[in-house]
Amino acid sequence: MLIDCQGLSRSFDQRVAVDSLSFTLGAGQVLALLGPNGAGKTTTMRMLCGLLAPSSGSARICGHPLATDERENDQIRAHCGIVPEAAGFYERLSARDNLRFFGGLQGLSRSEVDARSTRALARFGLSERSGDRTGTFSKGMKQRLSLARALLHEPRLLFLDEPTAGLDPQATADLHRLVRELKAAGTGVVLSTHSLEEAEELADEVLVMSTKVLFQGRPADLAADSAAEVEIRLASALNTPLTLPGSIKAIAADDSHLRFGVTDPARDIPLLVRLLVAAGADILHVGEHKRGLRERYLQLLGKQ
Amino acid sequence: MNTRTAVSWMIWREFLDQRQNRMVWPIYLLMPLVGAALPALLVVASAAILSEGMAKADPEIGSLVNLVRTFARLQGIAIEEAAALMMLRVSAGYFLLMPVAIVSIAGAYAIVGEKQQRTLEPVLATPISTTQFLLGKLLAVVLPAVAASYIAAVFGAIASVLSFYLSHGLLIWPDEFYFIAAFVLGPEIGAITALVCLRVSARMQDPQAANQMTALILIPALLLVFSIIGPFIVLNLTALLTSCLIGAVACVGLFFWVKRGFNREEILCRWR
Repeated sequence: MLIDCQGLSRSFDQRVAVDSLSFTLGAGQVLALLGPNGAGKTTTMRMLCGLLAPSSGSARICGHPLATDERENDQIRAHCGIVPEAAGFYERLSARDNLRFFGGLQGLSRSEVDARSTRALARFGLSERSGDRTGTFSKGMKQRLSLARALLHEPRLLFLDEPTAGLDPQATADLHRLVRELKAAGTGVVLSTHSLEEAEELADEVLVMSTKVLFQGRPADLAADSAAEVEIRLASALNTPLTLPGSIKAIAADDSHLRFGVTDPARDIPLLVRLLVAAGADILHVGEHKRGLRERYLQLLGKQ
Repeated sequence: MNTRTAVSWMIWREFLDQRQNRMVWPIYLLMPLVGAALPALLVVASAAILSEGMAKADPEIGSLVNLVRTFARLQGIAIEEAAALMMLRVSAGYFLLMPVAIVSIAGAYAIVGEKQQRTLEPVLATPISTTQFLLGKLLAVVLPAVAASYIAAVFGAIASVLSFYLSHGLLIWPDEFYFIAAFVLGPEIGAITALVCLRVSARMQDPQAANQMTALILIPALLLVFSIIGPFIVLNLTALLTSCLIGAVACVGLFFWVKRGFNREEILCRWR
């Protein structure tokens, strides 16, 4: 188990930033942290990678207990790679020198640092610009360099804090491919994102939080526990009024185009079709529209 | 990770960064140049204070001449030689101030600069300890100033010997006061300055404010210290050595003070 946290909380003065977080993450799993700005996603990541101490609760990261003792957390930090929201590079230094420095601080020997930097720069398509100052790099290039830095010491656990914010679609797709490769290689990934599609695509588990956890489970489960909509097209308008059971609700009717809300699609859609046929309708099309992650997410935050 | 490795990487990065920063070059070049020239100029000018006219015109110069005469008698050397040696000791005071000037620029920027570039989070996310981080910062700030100071002091001594020989036909050698001040007390004062800068830098939000705050603290403090110990460390070896000892203890004490004030969490969470 890479992460095992129980009741992890963090307060700043009187303000609670993270409240009673409990989850586990195994090797090769991706956890997506979802939530609005100020929900505690970055604080959670900083706690889990040993940058911040929790106010209460406990966690074991890569087998090491998360402690307020700095020396204990050194071991945790050695197993973690972090891609912070702001890339943070020494702008007067070249990409290669930046990688050398951070690799050195991770405890790699000089020869290892040089060899790995060369490989990482090639892997992220930065070889040609390796000697250029990072101050001249675009956001996308800095993001790639940030990933190269985070992976230089081959961490068991990678933290990505809004990694695709401001990236173009190609760079986003490249990053998604990288996450899938890391997952396949057994690296655990904690991903903080505002993109629900990204979470749905990459994560094994999502954690919707707004200081405290609002939902925890598979992305599919997040959408599944909500009602669905049924869209029905008829050959002509229905003349006979329908008597609907409690589980089916008419949402909209526009002559031959009808929309219904159903609680249990497997049970309610066949029932609805039977009712319509009994009422003399000639059905041309029946389509189910499941409520997506976004609607469920907004609903959760709305409740909050 | 062992401390030597972490600190050497910190120093390597800081040196590389400073080498690329053309803003700091003038002070790194100008201060040692002045430092190398000043002792020779003072030594050559030392003869002037011995003239009867100047001593009569200014009572303070008159007391200085009396002091030089006493010094020459005690040391058993010619009065011109004594005046030159005295001036060399006075010029060593420059090597106490030179590290302060060099260090205060890089020191004030040391931590707030990392905050500004957003590099502090990735650095602190590595297994580096606070002691290693601060030691790396301290040495990276102090070592260039010490190197510049040493070079200037050596060249200053050579220039003084040559210029005095050429102007007076006498060979003088800078005494222990000159070397202890330039090679021991100067670096200590540089380290003290750097530590105060680091503490201020960790508390501020922008480099300019850090620079101003450092100057606000250091200038009155140093003026006070120099005005008290200045006359003693030029004339009394025990006073000079005691100052060195106090400086060393202050460096260690200040390091722990800086370490105590360096709150990783606060720095990470309260930056803008």
